[in-house]
Amino acid sequence: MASQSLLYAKENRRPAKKRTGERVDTIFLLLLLMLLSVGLTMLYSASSAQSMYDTGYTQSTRYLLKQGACAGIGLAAMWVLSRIPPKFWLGMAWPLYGISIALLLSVLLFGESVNGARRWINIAGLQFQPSEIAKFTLIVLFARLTKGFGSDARTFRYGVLGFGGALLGILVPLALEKHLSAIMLMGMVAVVMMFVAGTHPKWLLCGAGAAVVFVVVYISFMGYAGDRVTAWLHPEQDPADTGYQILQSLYAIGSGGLFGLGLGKSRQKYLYLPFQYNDYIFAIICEELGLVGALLIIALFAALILRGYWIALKAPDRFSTVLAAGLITLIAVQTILNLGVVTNLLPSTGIALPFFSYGGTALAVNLGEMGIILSISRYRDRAAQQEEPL
Amino acid sequence: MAKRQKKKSYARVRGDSGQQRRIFYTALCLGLAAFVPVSLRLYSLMVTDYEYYARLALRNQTRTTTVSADRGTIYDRNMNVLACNKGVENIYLDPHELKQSKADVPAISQALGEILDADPAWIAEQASDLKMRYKQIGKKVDAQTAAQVREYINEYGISGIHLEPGTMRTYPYGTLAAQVIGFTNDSGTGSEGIEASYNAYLEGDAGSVITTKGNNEMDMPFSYENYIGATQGCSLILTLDATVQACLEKQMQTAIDRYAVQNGAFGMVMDVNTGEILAMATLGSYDPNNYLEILDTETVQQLEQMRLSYLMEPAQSSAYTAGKEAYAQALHLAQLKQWRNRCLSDGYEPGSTFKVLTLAAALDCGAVDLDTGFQCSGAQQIPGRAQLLHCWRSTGHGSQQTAQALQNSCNLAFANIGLRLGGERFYEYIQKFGVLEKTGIDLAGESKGVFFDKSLIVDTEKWGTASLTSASFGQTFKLTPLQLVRAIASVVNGGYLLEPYLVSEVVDAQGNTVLKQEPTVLRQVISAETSETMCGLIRSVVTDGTAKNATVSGFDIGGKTGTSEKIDVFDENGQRVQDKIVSFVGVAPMDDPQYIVLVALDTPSRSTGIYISGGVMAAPTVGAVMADILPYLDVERNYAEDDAAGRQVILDDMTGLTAEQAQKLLKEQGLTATAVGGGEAVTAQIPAPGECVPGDSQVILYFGEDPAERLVTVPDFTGMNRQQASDTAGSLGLYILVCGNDSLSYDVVVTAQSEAKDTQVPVGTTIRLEFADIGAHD
Repeated sequence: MASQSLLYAKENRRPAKKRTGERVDTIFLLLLLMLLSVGLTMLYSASSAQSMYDTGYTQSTRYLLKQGACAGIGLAAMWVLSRIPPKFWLGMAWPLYGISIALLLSVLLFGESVNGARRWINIAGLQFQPSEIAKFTLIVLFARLTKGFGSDARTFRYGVLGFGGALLGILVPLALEKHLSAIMLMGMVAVVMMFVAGTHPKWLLCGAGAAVVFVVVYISFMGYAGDRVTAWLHPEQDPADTGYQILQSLYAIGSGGLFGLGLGKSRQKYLYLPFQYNDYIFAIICEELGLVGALLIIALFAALILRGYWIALKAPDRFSTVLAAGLITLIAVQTILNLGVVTNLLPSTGIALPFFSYGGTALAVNLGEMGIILSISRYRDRAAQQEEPL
Repeated sequence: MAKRQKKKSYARVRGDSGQQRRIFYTALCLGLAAFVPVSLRLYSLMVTDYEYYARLALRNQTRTTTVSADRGTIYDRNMNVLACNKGVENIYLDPHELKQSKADVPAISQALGEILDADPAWIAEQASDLKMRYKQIGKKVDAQTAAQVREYINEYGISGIHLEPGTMRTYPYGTLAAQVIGFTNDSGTGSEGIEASYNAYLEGDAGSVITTKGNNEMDMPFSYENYIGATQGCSLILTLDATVQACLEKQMQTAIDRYAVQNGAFGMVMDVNTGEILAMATLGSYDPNNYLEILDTETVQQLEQMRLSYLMEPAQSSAYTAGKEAYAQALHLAQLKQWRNRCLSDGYEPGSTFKVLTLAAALDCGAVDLDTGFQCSGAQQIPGRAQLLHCWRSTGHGSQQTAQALQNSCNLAFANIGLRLGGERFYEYIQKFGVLEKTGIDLAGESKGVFFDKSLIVDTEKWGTASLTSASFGQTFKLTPLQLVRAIASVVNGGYLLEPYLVSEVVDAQGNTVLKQEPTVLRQVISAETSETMCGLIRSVVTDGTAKNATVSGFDIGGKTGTSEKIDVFDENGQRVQDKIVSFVGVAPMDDPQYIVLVALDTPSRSTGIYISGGVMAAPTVGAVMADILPYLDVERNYAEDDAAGRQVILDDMTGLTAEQAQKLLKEQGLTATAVGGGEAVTAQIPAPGECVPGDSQVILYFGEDPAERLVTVPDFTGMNRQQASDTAGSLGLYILVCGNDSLSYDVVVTAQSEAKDTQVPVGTTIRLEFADIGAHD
């Protein structure tokens, strides 16, 4: 097993039935746990200075402890979800959709404002972003629709209007929240899932074109986002204000060099680089572990993503396949966007790095979603028998 | 192939080969391809541009504190400090820190405003600039103010107000030699005079302390510190002598006051053999400790008037703005004017002082000799010159030989000397005397005057002789005072043209000599014999010519007077003004010339009624300077045998001596005595010991009796000649000290006295009398 390629295994040499997987995919799980442990280690390193500062120089572990607790909850959720058959989500798609829209709308009415944006909601003392639920909902719903549309997904009616209509139900409330990063993220995940489902690429290209037009219009109407673009292309023009964040990030990355300053020895984390332990944690990783460490972590992500798609390919039915593909796409898109932003290839968007960035809800939700992929991986060899004919 | 077939069939079994393929592409895209640009970007940031970002990051994470270098000291030739540094403190706010500590900004602004004498609103404004961590609110405050600020900070426990040490340049002698020394600007860079010219030596190299520091001054465990020490600036030792400078400025100021000189004065003292400048002064001066302040009272009044008049206009009106601008402009011009070193920056018409050069040239090349005769009838038609040439003395000087022509400063004679020289040779000598070039003194801002184009002098066929003849007696062109002094120095020092200099040595902080200036001879202009002849001739100008007022008893002084009209200054009606610059260049001692002194007074007022000429005004001023500085510079006095009265004697203390001993002692000094009382030994004497009296004085010695405390009324000596003054003083029991012209000539009379008339003074008081030749024109 160790020498097999990640995408195409040689397991069809054996009778499929004997390989009926009752156990989750070990490689995916190992990759995930490796990322999580490296992530928590780096979170501690990146957040220690901020923690010391925020606690009046008494405690360096404030953020590690919170994140660790959420990781525990997330792992528990992952274990539970990995034991729930994928079919369960088939029935949950529409109810989840309703709940998500309701939550998103209620944020607009009762939401709490954090850093000037009203995106948070408080239920029974638990503070979370409904958009986290909405991302998951979107993926489950699209998987459900893919199964329902079947080969009709190639048509405009289903492939574009069907998916598009469902997508709008979530994007409109998000647009009202002005939650640009979530819209982008979900838009991209949706496009990938539609591609997987069979929507003709020409429609997707049209959609991408429309998105570009939308972004241009948005930027010209919203001064705030326009500033972000200037800060992206010419951060050095205003190093003290709009360009500060990205310049500090580049200083951290660039000064890491080939092998880095050493674990825990970042200088930029001493409050020079803002968001050094959430959105910009990768810059600190680069500074401490150098190009070698950074590429190793990227390789871990790449491996996890490839293995995720492998699981999708091996999934027993169309719904599971698209669900797994969607969930791993969500991780992939977040990772790529985050790395792009941190290295200033993309303008700043506010997307966290999965399993690394500080943020309890996101970590728990991500781990839970990985639990669903693991659940799907249990059925990796039942595919042939259970797939309904087209 | 077989394998691929299998895969295909496998996919077909799965039912949707399209979906499989699409997932495969997605995986390639999102799982591999998407990471390529990021990885390449990381490589470029972390490997290709590593140096760049590492440097920026370091700069970002480090605090560099500048350790300023101490500016070097400026000494005069006797190591008196002319410029040095004083410790002060700068006070600054950290607006960010103030905000973090939730400081009461209005209260702080109010309190600091009171301590620092600043506008509280302005301080509050500085404190509101939260982007900055450093806002200076107090610049170069003294120790006392700094202590008050410190006390305030401690009392209220404020964080966000800081003090940092700084230095301030101070000039202990104030206005003395201000234009030569110059000053440093706000940022400590020399901006005028020596401070500017030698800034590179004086300023040294600032050092720095570099420490890594987290943002918000958070300490970092993996930090380092790097200390780069400051290199202190070099010190300068000038050729200037503060005492000589003070004497020169004092006598120039006296002349300005006495002759109501309207446009300031300039003068200098140079060593004729080395080119060292011992003193260089421009009055209307300023105080480099406060260089922006205008010191000339008349200018201050004019400026104040301008300021008040625009303040009367409604604010924001165009008249207000225009008036304000004009005021600022005028203030700036006044500042530039008082900073200007006229000795080397401005040309002036030398007038008759230039005749020394013409004559030296003519003698040197044999165009004239001492027996050449010149006729002056007051006016003459010169060939090649359209206008009739008038001598300054309209009645003429009659028949003169070369020496008398110089003594009389006869313009007609010098026009003829110029003609005898011819344009070619005249121009050649002018060039060799350095009139056409800068002197090369080590001070910035030197100019070189304005002289005729060569063809105007040389090509008399074409242009006539007007330029040549006028130039021969020093008119219709300009040179700087320094150029003239250097050229005349070469006439008396054996013929050598020197490069004048002000800084003799540059010494680093450890005391090593970095630069040592040696006298530089550029060329020999005239022969040693001509030089010796010229020394005799200019000596005769003082003994027998227009410069009798420059006489100082005991010293052989030579020189040449000059009175020149400003040909290029016009009044508001376009008429040439009658303003004159009167000057005198003196050299001493004439048997072995050592020092040359120039004093020029710009525009003496007609209101004093004193005849405006170099002989009447500048010559006695130079004489007074010589009288002050020559003894100080250890030039030996050399009294004429017959001039006991002109000699000055400092009285010894004779208390306790017997009559015989006292008589003997006094006789040695050429003094006489009268005895009062019958005691054995001297108990008191008039004048008191240490007093300076004329060499023929009679001293009163008291034997056992107290000197009578008798007061006498000081008479008005003005207008008396030597004999009259001496007799008057003797009859009252006063002593006189002859200053200025010590000739016994009837024309030489008292022009000033040290005790005003009608004041009551004790018997035996010595009164200084200034004698001058009131007939000394030009």
